[in-house]
Amino acid sequence: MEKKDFLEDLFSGTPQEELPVDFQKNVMRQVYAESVKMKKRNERFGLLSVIAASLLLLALAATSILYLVDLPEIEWRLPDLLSMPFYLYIGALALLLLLGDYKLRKFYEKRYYN
Amino acid sequence: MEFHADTYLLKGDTATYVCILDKYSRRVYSLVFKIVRNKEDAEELAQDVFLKAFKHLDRFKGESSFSTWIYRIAYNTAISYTRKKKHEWLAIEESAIVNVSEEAVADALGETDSSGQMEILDKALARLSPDERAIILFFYMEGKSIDEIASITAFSVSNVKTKLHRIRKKLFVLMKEIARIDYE
Repeated sequence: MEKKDFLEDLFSGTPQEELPVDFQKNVMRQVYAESVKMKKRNERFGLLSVIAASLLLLALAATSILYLVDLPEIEWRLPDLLSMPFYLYIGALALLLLLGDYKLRKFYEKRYYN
Repeated sequence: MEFHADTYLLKGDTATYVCILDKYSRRVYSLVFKIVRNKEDAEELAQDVFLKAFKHLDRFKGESSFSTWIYRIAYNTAISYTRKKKHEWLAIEESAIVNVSEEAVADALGETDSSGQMEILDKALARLSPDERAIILFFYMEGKSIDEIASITAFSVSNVKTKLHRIRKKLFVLMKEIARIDYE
């Protein structure tokens, strides 16, 4: 016959502690906050990776073109500076529209998906 | 069957984590409280355990059970905290530990009612080191095997067996002494 463990009997009568009030609520609040932080961190990392990869590809392409392809001599001339304000205006407009598009998408996502 | 919430969580369903809390929060809090012996600290540490588990969910590869994995986090968190706090506990001579038998302790406690015996056990546990308390609690309260305790504590299996044997003997010495003092 197996000898009864005296301590096992004692411990079996020991109750588990009651959880503090709102314990699970507090933990889930921290978990959600951490989840948001992790998501933003991943987005930033993703964006940086895309930028780094694009720059690397551009650098590889430029290197290949400069050293592997026989380029003809190019005559550099200053562009027509009279049209510069117009080009700057178009460029600034394009950037503004891009920014506006980004902000609208974020607003739409926040409103309808969160 | 172990609950594999981790796959749902890795897919971004954070709300599933409440299932893990439902299953393990009371056990983890209970364990941490019995190791650190302070309610407020135990609450903070237990919350820390679950937050760490959430942050490092991708590290759970299923090599051990999920409960073993979360208990490992709880053990490391509680023990690190006690090391920072530098609690003092009673050192007992080896000869004193060897000479006390289980029967002698059972005899000493024989006339005490069950709540008295629990009280004596609790006082004796308080006098163990946090490491020793953790091992004995994993074995008796959580029903963990020697292998699981070795996995949780990062001690070898033989080391856990030796420690468990010594801790039981130490508990006997302490309980006999407390019973003698309190109930004389």
